[in-house]
Formats: sequence, structure tokens, C-alpha cells
Amino acid sequence: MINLTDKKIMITGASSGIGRATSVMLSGLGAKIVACGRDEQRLDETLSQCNAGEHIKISFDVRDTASYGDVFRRATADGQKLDGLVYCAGIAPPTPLRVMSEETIREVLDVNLIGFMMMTATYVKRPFNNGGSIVAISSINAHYPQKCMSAYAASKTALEGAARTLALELAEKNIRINCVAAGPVKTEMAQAVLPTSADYIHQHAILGVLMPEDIANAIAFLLSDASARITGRVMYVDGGYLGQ
Amino acid sequence: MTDAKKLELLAEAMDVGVDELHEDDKLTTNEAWDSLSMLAFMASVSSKCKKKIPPNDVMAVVTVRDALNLI
Repeated sequence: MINLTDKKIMITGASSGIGRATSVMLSGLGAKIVACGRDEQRLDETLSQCNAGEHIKISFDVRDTASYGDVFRRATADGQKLDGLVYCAGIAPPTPLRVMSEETIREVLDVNLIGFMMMTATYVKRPFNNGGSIVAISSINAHYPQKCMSAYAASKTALEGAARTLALELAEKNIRINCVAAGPVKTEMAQAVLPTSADYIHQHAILGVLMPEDIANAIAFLLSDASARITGRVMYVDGGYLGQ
Repeated sequence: MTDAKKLELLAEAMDVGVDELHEDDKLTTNEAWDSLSMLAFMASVSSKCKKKIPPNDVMAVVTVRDALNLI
């Protein structure tokens, strides 16, 4: 039984997709949500779907790493430290090599990797946490090649490597860190593919295309005491995509 | 963006010379206008013009002019 009553969980990318579904699910499990995202109005929509509680919204761009200290101070200004961090912020622009630019690569790494590492670095500072659990959203693209997704795959592979290594440093602080490697999930971000690519995905996800709630389930488990002896690992939630 | 610049963007996405494309050319019969080119075109327009083109709009392109009109 997963119970997150009175746990305070910060979620980036909470304005849509997996981040929104996770916010809603965790609030249903009793957690106090710190919903983070760029769009304040969409954060309000997320919180309106959450179970009632003293949730907090903080609007900022994860590329602005200089703002993180202020973000965490606002998240803990009520005197309650954080019990978990879920890094859902991410971008996945399909980009063939022939039009790849340094700007595109840097933008993908800024959002998907550097934001995650710097959020983690801030989370672990003593004033901000009660120990707890960090979960980052990875992707099957880190394990399975797909045309035009090289920058995204590189960012998620690096993210998993970082989490695996950080687990060693964080264990002594009583903080666990894990990744969820998501398969094809029905989100706005995933709509930017050609219909032919969508057909391919449908054929390979033997349990069907995932919903954001499927990923949120795994996140809830990794945040809870039910996974108290799991750290530095990747949990695959891919609808059977990699199993073939 | 001028039409000449738009044509350059399309040619780069298709990995062909800009002199190989003319406004009235049919892309539907051009072997270089494949799914990779379509994705490259969408990616280029997104990064250089900050404009998202819906995949179905790209799939509906028939002529070079249709593609340029999406930029």
C-alpha cells in the first residue's frame, strides 16, 4: 500500500503530461504538492485537478538554474522540508542530423540533463530536504535507437548515468534516486511525430500506448517506502516496447 | 523571411541543392521529400522560425510552394 500522507513532493514539468498526472495522483495519495512549471495558468489547472490540500505552485523555467535557490526557499517557506523531487521537465524535438544545430543540442541538454542535475544539487542542501526520494523521467530512447532522436537519447542516457552515480553520494544523506524509463506516452510532447512514426509506435508497444498515469504509478512507488531499498536503478514502464 | 531564404531552408531539410527546387515543382514525386526530410523541415522551421508546423500539414504538402507557405 502506497501512502504519501503529509509528504511534500516537488514536481517539475507539472503543467502538463506526466508531471500533471503525477501531481494529481500523488495528491490523491496524501502528498502535499509543489507544482513547478513555466506556465502559471496551466499550473493552476493542474492544482485544480489535485485533491484538496495546501499545495504550492512555483512558476519558473528550469533553464534558469540561477533561480533554483529561490525556488527551493519558496517551496519550504512554510517550514516543511521536501520529501521528494520528481523531475518531469523535458523536451524531445525530433531533429535529423542534417538540420541539427548546436543550439538544439544545448537546449535539449539544458532542460533534460543540466536542469535535473542542478535541481538535485539544490534539493540535497540541508535546509531543503528530509532525506527522501528523487525520481527522474528517462525514456526508452536511452536504450533503443530511433531516427532523429539523437540529442534526446543522449540527454536521457546521460541522465540515467548521472542518477546511477549520484545514488552513491546521496545514500549517506538518506536520499534515494531512481529513473523511470518511459515508453511511448500519450502526451502533448509526443504528438509532434509524423503519422507514420505514430503507426510504428503503436505496433511496437504490445500493451498499447501508455497514459501519463501509467508513469505516475511507477513514480509513486519509487517515492514511497515500498521502494525503500531501491536506489540508482531504472524502472522500465514501456508497455512491452523493449521486450520484443 | 524572404522566399529565397525559405527555399534554402527547404533545400537544406531535403539535403538537395537550392537550384534543384522551383516553386511549382511537385514534392510528392520527388524522392528526396521523404519522412526524414519532412521531420527535418519541421525541425528547421521550429528552431529557426520559432513556429510549430502540425505533422498533418507537412504530410499534406504537394508542391514546393505549399511547403514555403507553411513557413
